[in-house]
Amino acid sequence: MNRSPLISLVVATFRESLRNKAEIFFNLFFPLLFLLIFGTLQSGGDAYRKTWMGLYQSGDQDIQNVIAQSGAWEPKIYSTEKELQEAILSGEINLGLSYNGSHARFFYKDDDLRTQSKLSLAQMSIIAALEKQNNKVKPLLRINRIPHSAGRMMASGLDYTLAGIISIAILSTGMMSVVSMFGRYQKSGVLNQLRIAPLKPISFIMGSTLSRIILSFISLLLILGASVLILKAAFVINWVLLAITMISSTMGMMAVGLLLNLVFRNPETANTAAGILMFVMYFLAGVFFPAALLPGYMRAFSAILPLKYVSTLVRHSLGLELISGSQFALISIALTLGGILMLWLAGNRFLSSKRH
Amino acid sequence: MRLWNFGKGFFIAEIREFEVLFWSLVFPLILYFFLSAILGSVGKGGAPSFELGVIKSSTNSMEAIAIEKTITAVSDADQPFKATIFSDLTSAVDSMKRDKLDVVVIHNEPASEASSKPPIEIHFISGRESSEVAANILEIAFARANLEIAKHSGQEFRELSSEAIPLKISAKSKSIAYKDYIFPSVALMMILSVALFNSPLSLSFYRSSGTNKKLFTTPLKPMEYFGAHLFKLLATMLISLTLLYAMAGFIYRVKSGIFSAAFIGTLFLAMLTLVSFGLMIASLSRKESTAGILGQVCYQIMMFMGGFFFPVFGLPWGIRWLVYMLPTTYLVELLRRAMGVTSAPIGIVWLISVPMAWLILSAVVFSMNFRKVMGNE
Amino acid sequence: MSKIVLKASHLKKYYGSTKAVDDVSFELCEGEVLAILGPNGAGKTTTLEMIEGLRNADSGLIAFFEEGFAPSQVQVKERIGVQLQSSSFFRYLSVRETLQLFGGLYAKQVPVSELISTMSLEEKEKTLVKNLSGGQLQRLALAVALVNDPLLIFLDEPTTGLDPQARRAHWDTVLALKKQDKTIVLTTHYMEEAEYLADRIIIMDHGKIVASGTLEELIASIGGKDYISFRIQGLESLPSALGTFPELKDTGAGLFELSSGDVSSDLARLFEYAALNNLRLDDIRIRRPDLDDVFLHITGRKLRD
Repeated sequence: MNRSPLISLVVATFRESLRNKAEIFFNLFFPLLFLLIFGTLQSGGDAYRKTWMGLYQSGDQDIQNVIAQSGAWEPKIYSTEKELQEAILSGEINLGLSYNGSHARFFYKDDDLRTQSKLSLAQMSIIAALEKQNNKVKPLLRINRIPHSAGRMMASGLDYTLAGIISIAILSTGMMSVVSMFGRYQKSGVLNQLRIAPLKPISFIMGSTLSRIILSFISLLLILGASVLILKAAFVINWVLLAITMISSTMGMMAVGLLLNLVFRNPETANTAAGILMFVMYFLAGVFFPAALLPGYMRAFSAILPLKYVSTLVRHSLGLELISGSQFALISIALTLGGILMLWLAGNRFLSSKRH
Repeated sequence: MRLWNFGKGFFIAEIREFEVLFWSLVFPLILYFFLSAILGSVGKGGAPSFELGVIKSSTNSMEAIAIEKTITAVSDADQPFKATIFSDLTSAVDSMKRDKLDVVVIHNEPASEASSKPPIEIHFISGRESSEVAANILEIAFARANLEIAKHSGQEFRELSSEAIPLKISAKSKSIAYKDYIFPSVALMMILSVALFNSPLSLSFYRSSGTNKKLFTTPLKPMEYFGAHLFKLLATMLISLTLLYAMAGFIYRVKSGIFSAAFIGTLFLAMLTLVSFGLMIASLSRKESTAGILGQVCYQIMMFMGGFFFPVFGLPWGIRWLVYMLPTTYLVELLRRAMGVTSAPIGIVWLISVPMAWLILSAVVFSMNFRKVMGNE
Repeated sequence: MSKIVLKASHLKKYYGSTKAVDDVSFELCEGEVLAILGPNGAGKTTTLEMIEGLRNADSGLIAFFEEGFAPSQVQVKERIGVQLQSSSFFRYLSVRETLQLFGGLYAKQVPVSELISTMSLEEKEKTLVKNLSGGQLQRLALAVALVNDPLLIFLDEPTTGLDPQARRAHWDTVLALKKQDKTIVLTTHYMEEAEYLADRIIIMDHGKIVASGTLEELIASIGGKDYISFRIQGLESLPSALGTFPELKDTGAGLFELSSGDVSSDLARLFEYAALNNLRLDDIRIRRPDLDDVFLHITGRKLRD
């Protein structure tokens, strides 16, 4: 019995993608590589939830507890100030404190901008804590820090970073794979072959892009696996919501990819445009640098990019930050509908003769 | 003359491709702009701004007044917080969870006469950077308020002095602005991109498309072809560097040694080393797609693990060995040393010898596979 | 006697157990047009590429000109022009720039304008290679092959994929080159091309030369008989009674063919037979033997198979 055109196309495009080593690498393994590089860099190794602070004290007081309680610092003891300084210069630790009971010297590496940005806060909080201990101050204003979870789990900074990378991976697989696939088909003449076949535009587009969704899903599983098993992410995953997120986000981003293919008829130019868009989104995703560091106008610009909405869905599905059911549905539906609309439009335009 | 004519044509043929033009010449400028805009503003004036939710107490106790004064102090003009009053904790925390607030502070009513020190609760979202930072700042503000109260209570109070001391690996190392500091990274990224993408992809493409085959039927010698290829890469890199220098010099007014002989000499060493590395990739790739993949992997690893943007020497040894293997780790440090900055704990001998070792190794591998690269049986 | 400009002796090229070229030898005289004819996979391109220096022969000797230069020597490259089977140039150079680029690789260069005019590429002079049609690309490829005014020109399947008009134009160019006393070697699987252009033809099959000579010599080698073809109305297969014509065969689809040394006499016999048996003959044609017949005679297969 003959397969339907849709199934035939899905099977063919999927097979073709699996046999294309470059496609497999860029869709499946490249996001994984990216995750491992960034996850490792951001995690900082052993103490990935707190930052090491080197400590040398020449007085009698034991201030380790004070340091540990005063902020997100994990004290590491050094027996001499020279050792402490060498540890900073070698990159073993980023910040060091030498304390003799009356004077505190904070050491940091001159070109370490990340530590410099945290330095004044660290200095204030530690001095305050030390003065409190020295003077046996009974604080009038007792403070209790109460962490909350915005989701289903108590997340760390690394969890947020990994969620950002996962969002980018979904975006990238959706958009880039469509741009490169249609570019390939256009260049090789496959598109023309399909145009002359009795194929409905929507079947053509759905058949070509369903395989992207499958690839996107496989990519997502690989990245999630790496996040949880290697980088020890503490996600509490709602698989149903995650599947919906993946499908709607991939469709939304495929639509962007198709739009680029339509606007830029030359496949190489469409590829370049997609590359630029991905680059912009990498920066605005808060993966390379914390989003809080971005200038105001860049943060405002990020609000109109699909990344913001995909990140919202991903964080919700992974349990980091919950949104209301209606908000989740609205974003998912908007991405999906936008995707379907673009897919329909692209299908008609690709298969029409006016384009040529 | 033949080499010049061919090299010129070879270069024109490549530079007219939009992708080559964009990624080699335009993109480095955009990247420099982005990095300077983002990271150049770190540590410079302009306090961050946080949304603060406040649930006040209705009492007029001394503590309540102290709390109110502290909150007013941190939410005044030019201060980090913008305060909004809430009537209950639940709605405030709910707003915080929905990312409308960064932190919530509640001044609890005293439970009884005996417990005369009402607690302040600072509520924040675990893991969300802005929330955690806001909570830290608030906590410090209240801690300082406690100390001020203690100082003015009449009891003896011993203040501590403190200082922040920047450490330099070398006494000669100087501090420079971030837009200066980032210049070597951007320049190296451009060189990497030409060396690891343009070069191997171009060689693979001309081999597989049959253009090389046509050239073999002419008197053009393989070394002349190779020379033209190098000329093409060098020309692209030099044009890009000129544009980067123009941007650095005229727009960002970078002054820190980027025009020195040492810096420019290091750039040439970087070009030779990385082009050689790219040629090695071309020689190990039978197909254009393989060259693309290998180039991409090496590019990402060298860029992020090479210390271009983040400190990498604190990574666990399980991965730190990779940092020490990469030629870019040494090249970027060598460029920074030429600017007078020392940021890596690596001696000058290693800074020069490791890239040279890569240059020689890559050249050897490439020359062993030269005929395969050219596609000549 | 014309000078020998190329001598190929006992060339062999094996790929594993496959004999791509199996002991091929021939000589080429100055001013001659030699066609190497054969089906796909016969070894024509491999042979040519060994001669052009693009492949190493496993054994055999190739000597150019009186001096006996080897293929890879620069003295050979300066004096030959090559149009490869598939043309690939720098996509983002224009026609003029491509000719300038390749011209610059030789000590002797034909003015680019002259080449453009010869190959009727004036309208496309500034067009980028990537925007040329198939026919225009082939014209450019031939122009590039002529950029150094070569003494010896190699054309590897030069008209494959061209429409009949473009093909004829290409043939005219080759004939014009022949008039300039250029020596040309061309490979083709189009019999008409070899018949039209070549002074001498080599037929290859499965890596070997199976026949060699002028067109007349090759046709004479199979008897040189003409062919009478016809149909019999109402009959799809040969009636047994036509056994009196021993060289009659059924070529399929109701078409019969008679090999005839005396066309007049055989035609008369055929008409007589038809009249006697009340048969009506249709679609009667007489043709001269061609290279396809030569190939069929030697190999048992048609050239087009």
